[in-house]
Amino acid sequence: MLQTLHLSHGYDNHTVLNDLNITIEDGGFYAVMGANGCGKTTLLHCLGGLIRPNQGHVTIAGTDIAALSTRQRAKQIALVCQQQYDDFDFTAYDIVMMARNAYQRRLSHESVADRAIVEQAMRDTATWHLRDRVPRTMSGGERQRTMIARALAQQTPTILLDEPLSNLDIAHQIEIMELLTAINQQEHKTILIVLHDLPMAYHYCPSLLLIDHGSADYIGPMREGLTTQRIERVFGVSTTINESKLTLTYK
Amino acid sequence: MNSPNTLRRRYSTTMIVLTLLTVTAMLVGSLCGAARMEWRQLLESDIFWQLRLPRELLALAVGAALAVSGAGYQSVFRNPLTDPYLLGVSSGASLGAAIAIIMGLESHPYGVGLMALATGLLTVVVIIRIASTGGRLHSTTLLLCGVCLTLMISAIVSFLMVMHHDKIDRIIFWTMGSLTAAAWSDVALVGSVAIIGIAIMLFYAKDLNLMLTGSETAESMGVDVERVKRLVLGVTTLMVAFAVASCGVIGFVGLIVPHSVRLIVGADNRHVLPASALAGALLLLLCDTAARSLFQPSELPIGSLTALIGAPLFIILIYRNKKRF
Repeated sequence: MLQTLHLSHGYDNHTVLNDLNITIEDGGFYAVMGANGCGKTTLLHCLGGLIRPNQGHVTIAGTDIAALSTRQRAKQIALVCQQQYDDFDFTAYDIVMMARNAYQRRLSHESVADRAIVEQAMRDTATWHLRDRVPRTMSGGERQRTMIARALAQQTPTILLDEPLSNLDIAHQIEIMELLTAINQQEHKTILIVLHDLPMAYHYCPSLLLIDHGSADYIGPMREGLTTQRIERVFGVSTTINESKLTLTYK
Repeated sequence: MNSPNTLRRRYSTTMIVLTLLTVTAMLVGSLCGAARMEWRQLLESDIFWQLRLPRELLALAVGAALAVSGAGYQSVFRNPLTDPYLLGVSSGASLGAAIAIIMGLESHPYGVGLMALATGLLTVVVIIRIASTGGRLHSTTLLLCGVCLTLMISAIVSFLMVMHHDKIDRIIFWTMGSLTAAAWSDVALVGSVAIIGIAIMLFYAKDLNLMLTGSETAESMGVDVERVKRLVLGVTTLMVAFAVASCGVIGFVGLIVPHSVRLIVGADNRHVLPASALAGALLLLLCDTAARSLFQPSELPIGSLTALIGAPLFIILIYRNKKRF
């Protein structure tokens, strides 16, 4: 269980997160949504322990995340960032193997177990045939699946993803959402995904964390939380929702 | 493309070939020079023991140190066009060396080296302050920043030279780069700094790999990014400073060597760093042998020789990467 207690964070004089108190249930599949600049990425970085918040705490199963070493933390939470950098040509296999870092001794090479875990993660994400390719030569969808394979190989109970659908065409977006749903249901991993696409979130994510101006506007089941009134207030757009067909459309 | 096994095999082959080439280059290099001798004569002469051998060993140490430093800066700044010379760190270190000479610190065994280290580190801090965004150096800012720092520092060094006529020869030596003055004491000092520095870098090779994929990603996979970054920048700058203090500013080694090595063994720093150390040592040994024997009795400044090879290659790299600037 991932929890924040009075979490506040800002840069210079600008407050990004303001006294956030949320509980992420184990095995949940949360869409983290909100307008641009509302603090989604900062929240993800705080949850992942990359940022030490100005005030408050993040706890994993009751332990303060700040008390964990970088390696211990890496065994709890995997993060798929927005940025990808391709000037150095690591193969997909090398990239997924990097996730095993927290389990390896510094000078040792990968073990047989590491190799089996990496192969399984790549097969689960249908990237095994790409293992000798470098991300630069892949399509956006293939690259994103490789990053998800890496997060799987890290063998953490929780995976955080920061806008993994940006720059993908609709077919690849659906492919990634289906893949994450399968990971959530079959491997019972907790998933938090930052999304901008309301219909996509409404269709795929059972839970919603809605951030508005650095505070949690809503956290809970998607169907109850994502109402037309709330969308109107937070995003300023009108929508219609068909609950029986799980669809949300813009007016 | 290349599977991990192919790359590993290629790495072993590369290391063996580089070792053999280096030994051969040392043997041939020992015979080159103004005084022509047979092997037996050579082994009994001071020319070999006091001039050629320490000079060759210093070339190996400096070449290895510069090449590994280049690979280190490239990993930390996530920019393949980085090199201690282009960053301005080498000139920064040369300023410290010049100041140390003027202050008469040459008598102290570490005086020049430590002053070079201080100004080299200062340059790194300035670069990070000016040019890095989110821990990454963008190519354009990097090059502009490096050029400006180098110009500014050479202006200061020129001032120092004019104000201290008596030391002008010694200072010019730092700005052009030369292994002429190589002595056993230099070999011991630079050699041990290089060996310790390279060992530390190898210890962190895996962390550097992860950092190449982005500092946030690396952090999330269990790398203490800030600590590794400080340590690696400190160690690389230390190696550059002592290399510069012993033989002046020699550019482009840190750029061409890791680049060529990556083309053969792939991007994994666990292979790139050792192969760069060997290839850098070999390159500088070859350049120095050429510098002292091509136009006898005059000697070419080795810094201009490496620039002559490195600068065109750098332009090719920029040309090929144009889209990504």
